Amino acid sequence: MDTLDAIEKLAQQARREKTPAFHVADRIMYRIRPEEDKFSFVVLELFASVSAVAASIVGYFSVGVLRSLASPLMQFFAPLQEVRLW
Amino acid sequence: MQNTDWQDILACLNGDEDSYVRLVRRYETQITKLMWRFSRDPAVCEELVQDVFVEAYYSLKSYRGKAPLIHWLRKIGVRVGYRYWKEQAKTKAVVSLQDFDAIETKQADDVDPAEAAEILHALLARLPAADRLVLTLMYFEQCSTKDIAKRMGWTRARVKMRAHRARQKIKTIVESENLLEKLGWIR
Repeated sequence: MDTLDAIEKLAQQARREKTPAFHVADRIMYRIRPEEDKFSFVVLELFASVSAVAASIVGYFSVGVLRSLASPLMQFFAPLQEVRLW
Repeated sequence: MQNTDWQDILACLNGDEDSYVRLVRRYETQITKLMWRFSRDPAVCEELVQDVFVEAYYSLKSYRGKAPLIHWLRKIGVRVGYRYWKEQAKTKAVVSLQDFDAIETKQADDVDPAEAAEILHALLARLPAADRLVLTLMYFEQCSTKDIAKRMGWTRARVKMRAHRARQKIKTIVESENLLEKLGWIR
């Protein structure tokens, strides 16, 4: 018998094989759900918004202070003045 | 396409998860049968079946309903399996055909189809991924060159050429390992 005919016969026999059965629906839904879970994005967006607001407030006061300085570079290197706490 | 499939797809696209569970349960047996051709390790096969349905879920919007849903799922399945083979090729461990002494003396009708499938799978695993894919689909799934071309997005001429070359390669392997003598029952 020709080799390729023999392989074809082997394939005929192989096609009769019973394949295992898996029940994958639950696993698939488990894999799909976390990615669709938008809760983490909401938390992330909220945190980013709060951070942006805080940065804007700090920036606003920083610009005011910077403008009040005669020489910002010299002030930067000047020794820190003592502040009396009481 | 089955009307129930289309209803479930529409419901799924509208956020009804139960409808996708119904689709999975309807086709998991057929997709498992296909993915078993790509890996005979039950754990890997199950993972591949999951990959097919997860990928199908995220591509569901692109399904136009021109062909039955199972055709579309099989197309995804073949691509998932092919990708798996290409990843595996980097760490390829060849199964020796000498391991198949068990079916040496049996008659064709007595041979366990699982054993025949095992040896054919090991034989095809010797080929490069693209050749292996073409012959796997031809031998196990009885796909025509047209079907394979459609599933893989290749030209039919390319599939025919691959099939021809792959057959020559497999013939050389079988003859070099004296497999025909070993498999007396297929004569």
